[in-house]
Order: sequence, then C-alpha cells, then structure tokens
Amino acid sequence: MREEIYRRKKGVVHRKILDEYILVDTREGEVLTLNEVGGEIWDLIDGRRSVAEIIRMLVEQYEVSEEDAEGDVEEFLTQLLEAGLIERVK
Amino acid sequence: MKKLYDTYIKAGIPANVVLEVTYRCNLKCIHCYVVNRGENELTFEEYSHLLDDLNTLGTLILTVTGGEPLVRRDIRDLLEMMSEKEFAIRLFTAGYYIDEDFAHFLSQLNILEVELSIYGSRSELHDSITGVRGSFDHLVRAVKFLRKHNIKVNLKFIAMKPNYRDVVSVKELVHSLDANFYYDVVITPKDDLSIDPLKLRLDLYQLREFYSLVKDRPYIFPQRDVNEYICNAGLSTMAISPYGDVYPCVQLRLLAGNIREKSIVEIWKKSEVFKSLRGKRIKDYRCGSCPLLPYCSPCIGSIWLEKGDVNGCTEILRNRAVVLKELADEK
Ligand code: SF4
Repeated sequence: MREEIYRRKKGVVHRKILDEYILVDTREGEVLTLNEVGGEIWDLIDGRRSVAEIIRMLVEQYEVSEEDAEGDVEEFLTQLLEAGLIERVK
Repeated sequence: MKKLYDTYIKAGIPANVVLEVTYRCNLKCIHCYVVNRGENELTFEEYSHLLDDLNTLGTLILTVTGGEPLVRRDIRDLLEMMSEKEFAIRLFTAGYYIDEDFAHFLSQLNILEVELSIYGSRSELHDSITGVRGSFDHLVRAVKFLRKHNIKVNLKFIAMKPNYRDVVSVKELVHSLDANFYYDVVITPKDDLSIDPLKLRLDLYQLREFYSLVKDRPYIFPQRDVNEYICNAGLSTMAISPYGDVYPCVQLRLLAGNIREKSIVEIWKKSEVFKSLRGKRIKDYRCGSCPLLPYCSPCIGSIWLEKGDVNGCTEILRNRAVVLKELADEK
C-alpha cells in the first residue's frame, strides 16, 4: 500500500470544528466525524502524496514508531475507502 | 445531522446558512409569504466575500432559496462558486426551470438535496395554487431529471383548504417518482405581516381529517427537555435576504444587521438579536409550561409573524398539537 496515492472524493466537504473534523458526503447525505489525527490524515490525502509520505509526516509530528503509524494509516485509509470517501489515483 | 448541529451549537458557529438569493419568482402561489421589495440584490462579488467570511466562521451547509433562485441570471455561477468554496448545498426551487442540462449541471456540484413543493397530484389542482399553468408538468419533469442524475429529491406537500384531501394521491405520486415525501400544515402570514394566507389554513376538523388520511405519522416529534434551546435559529443557523439583511431565520424577521454595513462574522458574534436567542431555553417561553409540548414542534418564527412576539402560540400550532395528542392517546 505504501506506494499508492489516494485522493478525497468529489462531493465530500469538511470543516474543522472545535477538535473535530466534520465530513459531509453530499452524494450520500452522510455526516462523519474524525478526531484530530484522523482529520490531519484526511488533509494529507491530496492526490499527490503517497501513503509512505503520509506515514513519514505522522511519525515526525507525533513521535510514534513507523510501525504503529503504518498500521494506523493503512487501517484508516481502508475504512475511508470502504465508506467511499476517497479513491485511489495510483 | 442532529449531532452536526449539536457540535456547531457547542462551538457557537452557524452550521447552515439560508441564502434567499432573490425574492423574484415566476409563480404566484396563493399562500406565499415572500414580499418582493424590488431592492438591489446582492451581486456575485458580494456573495463571493460573504462565502469567504462564512468559510472563516466554519459554516458547512448553504440552503439556497428565494423567491425562485433559478430566476437569477447568475445562478449557475453562484452555485458553482458555493461548490468550489467547499460548501454542501441544499436547493429549494419550484423546479420550473430544471431541464436535463440543469439537472446534469447540479449533479456535478456538492448538492445535498433539492427540495420542491407539490400542491396536488393533478395539474389542475397544483396549477390553481401556483397560479401558473404548466407548473405541475414542469415540476414532474424536473423531479424525473434530478432523479435520473441521482440527486436526492424532497417533495413537500403544503396542506391547505383547497388541496388537503388530495394528500394520499400526492404521496403515491411522490413515491412513484422515487422522491421523499414530506408535508406541512403551517401557513404563516406574509413577511409584510399581511394575514391573507391564513384563511387557507386547515381548521381543527380539517386537521383531524388530514391526519387520518396521512395515516402514518412521519412527524413524531422528539421528546423535548425544557432546558434545551427552542430551535436552531441564531444558534446554528441564520438567514440572509437578497438585500443583505440578516435574520435568525426566514420567518423570524428580527433584523440582526446588514452585510453591506458589517461583516457577517461581526453580526453573528455581536448582534443583540442573536445574543438574546442564545440566552433563552424552552422554559423561558410560553411553550415551557404548555401541556401540549410533547405533541408540538413549536416554531417561534411563525408565532412571531402572527403575534408580533416570540412568546406566544398560534391557532395552527395548537390545533396540530391537539390532533397529534388525540392520535397518540388512541394508540
Ligand atoms: S401548542 Fe403553542 S404554546 Fe404549546 S408547545 Fe405548541 S407552540 Fe408552544
């Protein structure tokens, strides 16, 4: 998964309110909330950065082990994919 | 969505802002509350600044309404800009101008839903309420195009003396069009306080008949705690007129400011109108001690329009609560 690149799907809008990221999928009419770390990953899914780069940025920022970050990011991306909120570009 | 509004209320941010982009309309509905004062409408540039400010505030949803929003020449540009600035859009329209091309255009934007009003299951009845021949056919055509492009469609039946008995057929038609059916019985005075439309309202006997025809109650009001806010107006929502006037909602026309004079951020944060709404809970209104509260969805905007005071009640709200209580007691 590390070399893959994802982007946020069209029609999903978000705002950061208090410490939460609120996502609205306008096509499905669904509302989702992400915690702060989830929200930051969401921001990094921009159709340019690879999964490996996202993991590296989190390791730097949160001082977590590469292994932990990798597990968390991959699990999170899989959830977003299943919810139809992101799509793979590469 | 309720959680979204709760988070916004906690943060003191408007989640949903209603933009009345014009008061002009091609229909002449007999119950309409809108009064077109013919002043200069906000321009595309003014909306551009407004949207940037709303973005700064954290607003997520824009409800675009009128009048008929689609009579604005720049409506495509406006909707496109709202989408580009990452807002979710709810569009209220009569559907008269929605053809295949426009439905396709909407399907490319961040449209949450399109809401249209339906007044009868046949053209004679619907058109007699809108005052425009062909409006029913245009409405049905619009709904078909919107659904074809996978846009969520809500059709709202406004029950009045001339049409309430048609509700069963309307509901069937709405479902056959693959749209969501809603209804409302609350007709309000006009924005200039004229009470003309009130004569169209159902009386107690007609309300009983109406609810017995609707049968299922799509409207089961959530249990209210008197320490809650009475509604979202001024707490997580507000309305902005085509002339830039800011109100808590499209019915509660208490002027909080004008965006041509002050920024929306300042109006939202500092206006006395909003502050006073934020200071009150259900218990501070007459509804707080009303035995009908569990069967009622109080609307202080419609109360204010009719009684000139938010602290009151209206015949239609009370009668509706009486009928819903009777239905609940029957079960
Ligand atoms: S019936 Fe009137 S006073 Fe009672 S809760 Fe409803 S709106 Fe309020």
